[in-house]
Amino acid sequence: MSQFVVQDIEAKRVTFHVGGVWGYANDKIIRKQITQAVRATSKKAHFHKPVLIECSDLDRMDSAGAVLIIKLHQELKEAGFEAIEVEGLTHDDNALIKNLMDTPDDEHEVYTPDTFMYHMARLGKFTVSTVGRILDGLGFFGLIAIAFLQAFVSKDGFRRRSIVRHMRESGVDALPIVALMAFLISIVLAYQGVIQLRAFGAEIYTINLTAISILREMGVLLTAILVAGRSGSAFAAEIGVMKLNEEVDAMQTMGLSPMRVLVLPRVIALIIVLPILTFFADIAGIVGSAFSVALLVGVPLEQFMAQMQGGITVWTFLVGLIKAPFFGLLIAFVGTYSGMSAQGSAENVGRMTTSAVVWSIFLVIFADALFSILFQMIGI
Amino acid sequence: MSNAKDTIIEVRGLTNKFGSHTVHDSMDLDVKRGEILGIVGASGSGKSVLLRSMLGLHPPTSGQILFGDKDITRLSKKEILALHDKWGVLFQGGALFSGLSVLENVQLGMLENYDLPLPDATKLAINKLKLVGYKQEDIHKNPSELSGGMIKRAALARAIALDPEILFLDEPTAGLDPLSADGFDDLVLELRQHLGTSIVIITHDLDTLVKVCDRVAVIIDKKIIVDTIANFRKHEHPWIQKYFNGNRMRAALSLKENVSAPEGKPDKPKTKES
Repeated sequence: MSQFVVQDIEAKRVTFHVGGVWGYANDKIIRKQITQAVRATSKKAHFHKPVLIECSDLDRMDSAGAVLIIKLHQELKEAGFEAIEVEGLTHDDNALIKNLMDTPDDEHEVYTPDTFMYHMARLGKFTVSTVGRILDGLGFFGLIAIAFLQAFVSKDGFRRRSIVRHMRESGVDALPIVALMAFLISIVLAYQGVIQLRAFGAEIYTINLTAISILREMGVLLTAILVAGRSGSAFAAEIGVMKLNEEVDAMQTMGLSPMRVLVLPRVIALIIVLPILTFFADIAGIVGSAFSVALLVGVPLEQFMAQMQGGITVWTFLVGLIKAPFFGLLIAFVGTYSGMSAQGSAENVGRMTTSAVVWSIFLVIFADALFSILFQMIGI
Repeated sequence: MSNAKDTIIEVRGLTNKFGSHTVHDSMDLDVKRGEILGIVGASGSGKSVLLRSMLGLHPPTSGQILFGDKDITRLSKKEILALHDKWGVLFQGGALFSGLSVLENVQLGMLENYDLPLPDATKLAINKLKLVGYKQEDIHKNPSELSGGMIKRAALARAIALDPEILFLDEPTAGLDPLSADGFDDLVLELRQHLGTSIVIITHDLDTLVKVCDRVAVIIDKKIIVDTIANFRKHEHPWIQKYFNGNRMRAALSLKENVSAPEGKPDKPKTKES
């Protein structure tokens, strides 16, 4: 390890010989050596002697090196030396050091995040922004409604091509994963059902259990959650990036309404596609249940059908299906709203995408709870 | 220092092909220590590819790029990363990290690579930001709150944060208003004076070219020709003729003559001879 600073204690004064390359690359070593050198000299109590920082052996110095020279000077002063002089610097190096000494410190107040008030302030900010977003969201909902009505009279209508495109991306492309998931979930349900119902010798009712839970709740709920994760996030990200790119503004200046071009087709597409996906999820779920019941209890398909027909009515199926378009509306609404409210940076788009998924899943489940109460009240 | 040579980057026989499309065909280029080299060329002539090759971001089809005694095209990713303190890059759009404030953007290299104590890194970063004309109250802003000019300035401060030996500027004045662009040109000259940095500028801005560049490299017909502006004006290639004798270039040149004729730039004639 080369020596960057060497102290030389003479009778009349203390000299610090500074040499080598003072810069970023040697920053760590030099820091250590400065502290050592200052400690070594101050031990011997030479505080009355004048100090000379001798720099003529300095090969090269960059900004970090200049900071270090200042640091050496400062540490000597703090140690108790009074008369400190610096010698042998080139004109440029001197200017750099002077420049750095004149640089003001950062006066920015740093939050200390562990205080009570800080958390209160955070809570307050969160509340205000959430309420603001909900109100804003209601406004956006209104805009969707207006765009929907305008589409009847405007000459480009409902933009069928765009709707079909989104139906394919959010619907057809999601079909395999939706069906697979419904199939697997119904197997899980059937297994648990069989184990519990066996105690009463009522394994056959596993069929009723799985059929009803798939048709009424699980089919539509799982589909909605999957679509929220798949398409809700995609809507938010696509529109958010377009917003950042000023594409949305460009659209507006060309006389196209972003609500009608970007938002409405996505909303309509999901409203159409979600019931269809739910229908397929229901089928896959029933198949899964028939499969596992056949495997576990040994019920043949005919008996499965008969048992299922006895257990459910057409309303069991419809109750699930009725909810689907509403869920689709919610997911598309939250996704497009999040995208349209993106601003500033790419980071914000990421945050909006995340919040789109969280909020749409939350709203879907919330709406499902409301539907349950509603159906209970009207007795289906 | 081991490389006391007066050339900081040597490009030798650089060839870049994308499929069957040849962008560069065995081109040579020297960047001298302490000079400001402007790179010009028609759109799509491969200026950015050349820059990316020099930075080790785009491995060329063949050829050598010598940085000191190292061939960049032969270095591993890790060795290229280790060169970070030797060069600073200003990307076209600034490429500031959007999750960090301006100050944090400039500090990042100091903290990540050298583990400087935070107060010192802050001091250095503020110093660099002052150098590029930042006001104290703006340094905590996020990139999304800044105008285009301020973003470029912050990006420049980040590029010079580690006192690089060579600075690459990709279209530094594009999108700036004339006053800011002028200020940016002065800043580049000042930096060279201050830090002795070699600077490579890719630019379409003729004023920048005339005002700050010692030499100009023209990418044409997949090759590169380096010369002074005065000599390029006499060059017989039709594109170069058009470029260096066009109305815009004449306006830029006459502006410079009017401005600097009485005093003259002290460092200009020297470099022109080289």
